Amino acid sequence: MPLTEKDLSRFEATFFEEAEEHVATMERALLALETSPDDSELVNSVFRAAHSIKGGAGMFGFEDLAGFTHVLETLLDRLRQGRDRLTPRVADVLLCSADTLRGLLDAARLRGPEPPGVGAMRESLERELDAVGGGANAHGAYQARDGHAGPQEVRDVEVTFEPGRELFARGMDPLLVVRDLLSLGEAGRVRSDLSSLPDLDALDPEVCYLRFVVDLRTAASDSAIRDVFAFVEDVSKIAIARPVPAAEGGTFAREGARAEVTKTVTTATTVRVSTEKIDKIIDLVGELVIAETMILSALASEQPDARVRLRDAAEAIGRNTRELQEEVMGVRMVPVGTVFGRFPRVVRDLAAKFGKAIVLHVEGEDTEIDRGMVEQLADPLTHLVRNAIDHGIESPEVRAELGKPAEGRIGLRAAHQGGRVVVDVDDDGAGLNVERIREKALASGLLDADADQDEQALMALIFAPGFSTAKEITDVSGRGVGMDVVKRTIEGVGGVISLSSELGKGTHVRLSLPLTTAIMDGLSVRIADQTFVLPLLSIVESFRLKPEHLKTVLGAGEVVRVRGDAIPLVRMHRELGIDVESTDPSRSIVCVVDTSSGRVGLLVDELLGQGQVVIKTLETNYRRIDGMMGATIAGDGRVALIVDPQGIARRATGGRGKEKEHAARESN
Amino acid sequence: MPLEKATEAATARQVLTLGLGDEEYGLDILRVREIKGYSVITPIPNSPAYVKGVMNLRGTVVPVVGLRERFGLPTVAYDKFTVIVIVTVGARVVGLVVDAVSDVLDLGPNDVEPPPEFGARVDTSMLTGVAKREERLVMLLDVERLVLDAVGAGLPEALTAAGVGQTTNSRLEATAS
Amino acid sequence: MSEDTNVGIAERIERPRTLRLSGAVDVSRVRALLDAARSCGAGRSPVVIECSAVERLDAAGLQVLLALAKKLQSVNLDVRLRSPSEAVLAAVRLAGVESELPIDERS
Repeated sequence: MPLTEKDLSRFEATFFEEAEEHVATMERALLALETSPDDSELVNSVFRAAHSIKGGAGMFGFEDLAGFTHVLETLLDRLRQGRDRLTPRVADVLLCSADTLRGLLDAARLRGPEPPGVGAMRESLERELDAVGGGANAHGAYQARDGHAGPQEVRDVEVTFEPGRELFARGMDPLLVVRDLLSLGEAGRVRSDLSSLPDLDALDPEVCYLRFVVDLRTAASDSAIRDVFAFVEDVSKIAIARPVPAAEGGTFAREGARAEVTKTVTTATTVRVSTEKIDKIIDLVGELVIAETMILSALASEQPDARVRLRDAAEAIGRNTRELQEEVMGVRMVPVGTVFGRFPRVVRDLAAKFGKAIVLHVEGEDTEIDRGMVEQLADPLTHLVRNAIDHGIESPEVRAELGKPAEGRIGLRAAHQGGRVVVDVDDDGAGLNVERIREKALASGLLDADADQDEQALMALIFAPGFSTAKEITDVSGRGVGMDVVKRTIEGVGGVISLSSELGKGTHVRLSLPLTTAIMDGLSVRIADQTFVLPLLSIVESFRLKPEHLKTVLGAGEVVRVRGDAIPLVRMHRELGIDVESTDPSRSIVCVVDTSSGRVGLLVDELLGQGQVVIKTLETNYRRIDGMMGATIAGDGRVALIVDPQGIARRATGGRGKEKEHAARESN
Repeated sequence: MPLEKATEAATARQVLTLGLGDEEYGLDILRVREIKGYSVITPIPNSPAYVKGVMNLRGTVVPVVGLRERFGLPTVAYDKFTVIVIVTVGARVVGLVVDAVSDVLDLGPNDVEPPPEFGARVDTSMLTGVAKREERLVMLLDVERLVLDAVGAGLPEALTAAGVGQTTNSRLEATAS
Repeated sequence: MSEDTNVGIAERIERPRTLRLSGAVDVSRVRALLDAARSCGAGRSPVVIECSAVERLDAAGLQVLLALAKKLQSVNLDVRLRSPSEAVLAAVRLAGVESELPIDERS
């Protein structure tokens, strides 16, 4: 089977996936080492992880990454040989290196420029190395490229490299290894041994038949030479002739290119699926094919039982399709631990930054969520946790005064409940001060002075856009912050956010998420002669428009009266640029949707029905369309666009929905 | 960009000819995924006139570009003879509405000339060249450019971003010279 | 969809056959390269490898060219590189196979 570019990039993709896991392993182990600094197995696992990344990086030609990882690996090697102690400072340097590694991995994967700070990080590592026992044999292969002469004596070696036959199939190029080898020294001469090369007509082009003999004058040690072959060593034969015994004490045992691989999947581009599941899916597809045949034969049949057979076939299809849907959706599920995994580190760093003492409890990491949800959850959860640490948990002194334990408690919990995934973030900190919220809301005009709001409604105000004040925005990452963004993001994946709090006791935020992003409940509507779908979750209510409830308000456009409130009305056919011969609003339906720009009424011509729709993205082949969140295939095979109520509302109200609501209300 | 076009013009290739009005256009056969008859197209709100909408291609939502509209020819009604040519550009699958599809031509390097300076009718930036074969004049479409322009990705840089990659021009040939 | 290989019909004339390579000549395209190489190596002509437009040549690609060279050299026919690009030169030098794949003086 020929290797395509897709295969090659898949090998690379596998490298990046595994490298991400290695970095995660490193981080976990480093964090664990803080509480048990003498656990040698932990140190070993960090070393092995770095070593694997270095090997792979070299193999695929990612020089920056390999070079940096090499320095890191050298320091780790020192540690695991017991020649350096894991002091808190060293731990910090290593943890930061893990971050730098992630940045370098991203840069390599996206073929982007080297991220800032790599040089500085590298210097920190090298300083660490020099601080302990001099820089002897510190840098081996990668420094040698810069022309530093090692402390070894220069000698002539003959290195024989016989790549494994399957090297090409792994997406590796032995010429790159040879090149790396040559960089270790000078006066290099390469001879290719073609004796195993079969006749052209018998050649299998994906098998490597070549053998290389390299003469080299080098000061690098044997182990430094073998280092070059790290990633291919398990499938190749390497021999070094005329070696001089290495001056360094003790060669470390070759661990091979395998390190512990955790079972979580962290990238969004590939999935690991059990073969059992694949088999199940294949069976179900087989059943569908059979059902198709049943239909065709029933259609062709003249016999009286043809209708019955058709019906049976239709039922079989329905059954199998539903099961298939479930199985395939299951493929998209990943354990929520994928998202939770970063939080021990986040909490540690933030607690240190804000001077708080915090213990993080994580529960339900195995709870499965849709992988599309994974990326979407990360930022909101981070924001919630940050809030808990910054504003929630009090400083140790204050807590002592209040009679609370010095260490604040933050809980992250996930569970399946009632067909949804529930994620809870709670803390035992100061809780929400409802009075302060009221003051702030009054001050920023979000609340009318005479409006009587209960506690729940007041707390919900923290989700209103514009509520976050400068005092609360402590994140300088430049990303959108504020609870309104959190709410929008969660709602964007079909979730619901709610919170409860008790002053002085703590705060509890609950995210209720659907099991999958790719399917949603939709309401099909007719607008002129076309069918569109509205997300059912966004719809508050629908009713037939009574002309007397329609008004045009200066400064707010058209509004419709809903039980005392007046909300902006959007004529969908106008919004979507569809021509209609007549607009007789008396037969139209208003669908009231709840968005972050407030409530808006969407005027459509007819409600067609409700049901689950499979969301197809428009961006793959076309591009994002303002006001649409995707498309779906309707029962008749036509494409129906799915309306994005947020987008429509934002466009129609110019983002000033609340103001228009006010203006409308005032004019009543 | 001109260098690429020169290379393309210089190498032999196969081209699917399409009819549009009185004229013939050509598409690199390697880009053609399939040819479909009339399919229902769902219009996309607030989009350019030449983006006819999207269609359902066995479960995938595929945008459809009307070549008549794109090249300023008068629109005709869809009927059962209307043809949609499904092409791939990078990772995108796009449909092009044409009047008809005719044969596949083998073009050698001598058959193709650079696009002439036309009048206003055809946007010559969408052409990679013109092929002459007996009495026929086939205008060779730059499908990548056409599609990327239609979806709003426009620029040549987008070629890499769309996953086309650096090796689109790789060719392996053995000829008697 | 057809692969981008275009192999011309062989003519039984003993003029040098030209194997024209461009872009990435690596393991992803090595099967097509092999077909082209086999076609070139089938006759009784020497072969010229026109490789000025080669952007990348890896060991897998080089291996096929070496196999072609080996086959032709066994019947005293030449394989020469014409106008080799940097990538080709680098690969040939790195593998130390300048004598198996010499450069055509007319490059």
